[in-house]
Amino acid sequence: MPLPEDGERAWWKCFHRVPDVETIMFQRYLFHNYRVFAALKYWLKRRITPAGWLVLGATLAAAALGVDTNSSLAYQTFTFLFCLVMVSAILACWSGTSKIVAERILPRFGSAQERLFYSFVFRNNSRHAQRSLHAYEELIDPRPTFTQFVETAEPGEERRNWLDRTYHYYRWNWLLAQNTRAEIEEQSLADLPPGLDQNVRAELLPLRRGVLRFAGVAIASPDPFGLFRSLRKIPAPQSVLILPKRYVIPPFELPGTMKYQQGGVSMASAIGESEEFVSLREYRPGDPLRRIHWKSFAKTGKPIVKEFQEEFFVRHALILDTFSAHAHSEVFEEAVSVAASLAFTIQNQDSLLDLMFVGPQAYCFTSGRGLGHTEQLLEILASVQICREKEFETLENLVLEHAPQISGCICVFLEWTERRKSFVQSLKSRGTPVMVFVVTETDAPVDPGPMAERPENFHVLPMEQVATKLAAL
Amino acid sequence: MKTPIGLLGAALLFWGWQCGLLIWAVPMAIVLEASRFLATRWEFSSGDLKRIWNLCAVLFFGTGIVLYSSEETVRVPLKFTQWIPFPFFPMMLAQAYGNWEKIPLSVFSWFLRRNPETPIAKKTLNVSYLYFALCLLAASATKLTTPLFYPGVVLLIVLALVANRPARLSVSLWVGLITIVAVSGHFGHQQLHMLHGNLEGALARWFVGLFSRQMNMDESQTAIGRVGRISLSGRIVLRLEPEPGGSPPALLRDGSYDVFYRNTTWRNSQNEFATVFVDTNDVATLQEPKALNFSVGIASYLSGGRGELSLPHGSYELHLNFPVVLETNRMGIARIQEGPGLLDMVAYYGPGKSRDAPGSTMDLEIPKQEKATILQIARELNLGEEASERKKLEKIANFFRDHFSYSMEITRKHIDSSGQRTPLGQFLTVARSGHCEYFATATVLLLRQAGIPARYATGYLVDESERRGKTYFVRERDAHAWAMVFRKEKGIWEEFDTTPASAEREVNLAPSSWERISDFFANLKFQFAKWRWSKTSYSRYLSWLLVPLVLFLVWRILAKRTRQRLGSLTDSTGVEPVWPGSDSEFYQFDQKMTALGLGRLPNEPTRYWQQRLEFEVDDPARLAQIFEVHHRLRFDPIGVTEKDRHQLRSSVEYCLRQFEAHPAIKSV
Repeated sequence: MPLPEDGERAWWKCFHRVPDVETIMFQRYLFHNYRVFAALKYWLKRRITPAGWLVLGATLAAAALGVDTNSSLAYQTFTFLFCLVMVSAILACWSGTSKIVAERILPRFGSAQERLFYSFVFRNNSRHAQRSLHAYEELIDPRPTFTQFVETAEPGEERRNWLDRTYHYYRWNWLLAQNTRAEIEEQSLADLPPGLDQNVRAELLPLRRGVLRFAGVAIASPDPFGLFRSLRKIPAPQSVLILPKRYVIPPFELPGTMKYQQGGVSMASAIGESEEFVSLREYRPGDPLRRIHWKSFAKTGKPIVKEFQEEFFVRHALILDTFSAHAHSEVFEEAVSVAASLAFTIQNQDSLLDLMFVGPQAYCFTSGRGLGHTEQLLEILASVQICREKEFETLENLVLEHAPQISGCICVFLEWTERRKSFVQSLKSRGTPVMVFVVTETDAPVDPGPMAERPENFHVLPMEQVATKLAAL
Repeated sequence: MKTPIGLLGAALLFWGWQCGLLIWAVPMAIVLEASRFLATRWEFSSGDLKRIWNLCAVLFFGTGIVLYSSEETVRVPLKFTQWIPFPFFPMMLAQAYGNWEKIPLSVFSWFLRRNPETPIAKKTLNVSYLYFALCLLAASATKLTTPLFYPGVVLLIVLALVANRPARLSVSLWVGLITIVAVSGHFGHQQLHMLHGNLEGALARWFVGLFSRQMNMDESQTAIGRVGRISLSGRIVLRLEPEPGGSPPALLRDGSYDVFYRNTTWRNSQNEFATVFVDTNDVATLQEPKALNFSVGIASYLSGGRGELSLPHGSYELHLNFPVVLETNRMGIARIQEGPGLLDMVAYYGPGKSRDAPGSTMDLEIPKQEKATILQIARELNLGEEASERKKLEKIANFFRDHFSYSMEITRKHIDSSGQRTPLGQFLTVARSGHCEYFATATVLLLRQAGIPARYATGYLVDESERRGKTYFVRERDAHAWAMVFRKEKGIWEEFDTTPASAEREVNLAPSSWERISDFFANLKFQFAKWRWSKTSYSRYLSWLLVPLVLFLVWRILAKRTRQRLGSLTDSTGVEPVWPGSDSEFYQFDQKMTALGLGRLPNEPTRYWQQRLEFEVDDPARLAQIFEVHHRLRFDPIGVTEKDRHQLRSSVEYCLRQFEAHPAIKSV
């Protein structure tokens, strides 16, 4: 189905089929089944060791071979393996790790796709040494909600066959993968002597930006034959913010010149009076009361105000397009990474940067020259989501409202539609220099439209080549 | 996770001992265990591993096909399991002698190769423990009852578990626990064996009780008294091929019965079977050869290798396609107890004596319920007054021919509503129409009333219109029943069929349009089964067919390496390079520079060396070219062009000349 243009969104919604009761019931049935099987798979995966799987498989195979006890001796192998499995399973119910406590020490931030190192402190409060233990991180349940399952289609789902589209099995797997926010290996623990602390260095690979929430730590102890594990969960709820993935961008020339900034340095500085006094003049309507020079007012009987040196410096707008027809889009994730990389680079220069995007409402965050820090922008970008409720016009209004103060505009778009082209044209007509980045799925050629005059300020970033294209700026 | 030393070898030897394959198991164990003492390893790429896995798959399916074609079907699963360590041995060897500690899962699955980004595709598998488990399962698939089997299995599994023992448990406690498991397993398998025996007996009794009537081979349940249309399929059950110029026998008998009871059922008063000797040429002699004889090829499927034979009356010798256990009873019926899935035989037959036991008093018994009607008809025909057997037979035959008609449809008129007459009585007196079972039963009873011993026979009628080339098809709808009459004066049994021919029967037996299609597939299946159960030892040839395929796969694994070696041997320098780029002119440059005192320092990266040398040379670009081309020659999988190589040579010569001519260096 072709994606609707921004203006067509409302029209398109009218034709969107409302699912009937039977469909919802069927989807709910599927959802519960997938939930139960995902939970079962997770439970088994952590409790049965590879050796356990092999023994279980061999037990089943021996059972199948030994059905007729007169024709083979496989039933003897089966009974031994079966007894082994039963004894292991019974002994695995006892863990003996109830007196172990764990504390996690996390950094404030991590970055997507970059290994995050942190540490644990385990303390064995029992009277015996604990050996052969493993620790598992317990992240919050990654299973999708029913709303997510029903409304969020897997990219390319329309190309799947009827059966896959009806049963949503691939959609479920994809959503599960999307909700899994980090790859964490099980941690093998050294022997824990009684009454002592042990520091353990751990690492994880954050897969996506956003808040990575931990629910607790599970201590696994194997049974005597190493087939099954008993798990004891220690609650340790914590979270770490994962910043967007960033690319290396060499210093590059931004469009635009210095502009007068209302409020001057006082606006750009967080603390203190650093403005420079120039002269006194008569009051003009609109002057703030705090600038009235009361002594002169008393002398002259007319309101006199203080006049300061006007501040001119560069102020750029980083505009992030958040309008996508899909609830999830890899193009959007790349666009956020591009925006984060630009924000990170621009902050190295002596300028102000306004990050503008539309979420549940229109946002404008300013940083630079003491107003804010790069980390704060990256924190905001770590949490930015796709906007499906509002129209592109909201972003357009926000930007045009700030246009008089902006020296130059850097736009990161998800697509290069007529609507976006006209927006860029309107910015240009107001004399605002514009630099455009368009993140695309493929490397198909794109018509620059209003950017044809300044091709050096128009960059198409196919998803596979974002890193190389940005490095070549 | 490597297996303990000797574990795989011990498992292979245990398997070889249990399965009688020790001659194979010993070298396999030696080769596998020797890998621990040899430092040499093969460098397999993932593509090589994939091809080795393909080889395993070919061997796996090839083993299955060879076993299916040479073994009895029921024994194939167990035999196949016994052989399972053979096909997977190449993969085990690849891990033991290869450079891969673990094999990537993508090697085993086409789907994972197509989706290399899936998490499972990135996982690896240590095949040695899996192979160990396969060896144990293969050893378990034997019938060789020995007291050492269970201890052997326990010992091997314990050895494997020891390597995996968690340190949190003391050794004594661990040994105690595994002893409990082993003892429980020992008693468990004894109890399981007993339980199986008891359960099997109980099930057999229940099953026989439930289906005794239908399953009893002593009986023939007729459709006499059953209202409705008799409908039989066109499925081909027999294929006859008479001798050239000859014609097939009209009737093929597979059952004979002497007692009629409950108005519907024929059974045998005695049904003991005796084994018939089958010689080494698979020829079974049923009685003495006859002077006048005919032969006919008969092919029929035997379900599970067992079943009754449909033979022409007077058969005296059978030439079989497969070694069988053949039995006959006193009614002249032959059956196979152990045989092939398709029996293709040549039956020799002729007039005269047959294997049927002479007529006895049982062959003159008439059930009480039918007595009155039979007596009435016999009186109508004056059978009692006729002295000649032949005349009596004629009268009975004429009676049915003249006053009866053939009908496949049994209606209400065949049933006496008052309940006074039996269905057969109703047939003889009122309905006067019916199918072959009515005629055969009535004929037998009338003959007995006339004092002639008679039996009820079942089998097939051979239809002349069903000829296809040399072969006559006998279909399920050709099932027939007739009477066997004992000619006292000759002392022989003869077939006596009184069922009249009728247009209705012809119409009913007309083939449907789908029959040609089903015949086509039935013939395909028959040809395969004929080949499958033929006397030739084709399974041996089938195994040979696998040889070129296996050789091809081995060639594919090794060809790339061989090609690389051949390519390097033809190099102009004549020196066999050990690795790509080892014949580079860069090394000459290195040696010369070392001799000039400008050599590369220990652990100095080439780039740093290059930067150091750039100060000493007039044309740094030529120097940079040496390093750049050499780097590509050494590490770029695409390699360099001949032009690049030429430039490398000329640059080395140029730079060396420059260095040698350098006044500062000259002085050194």
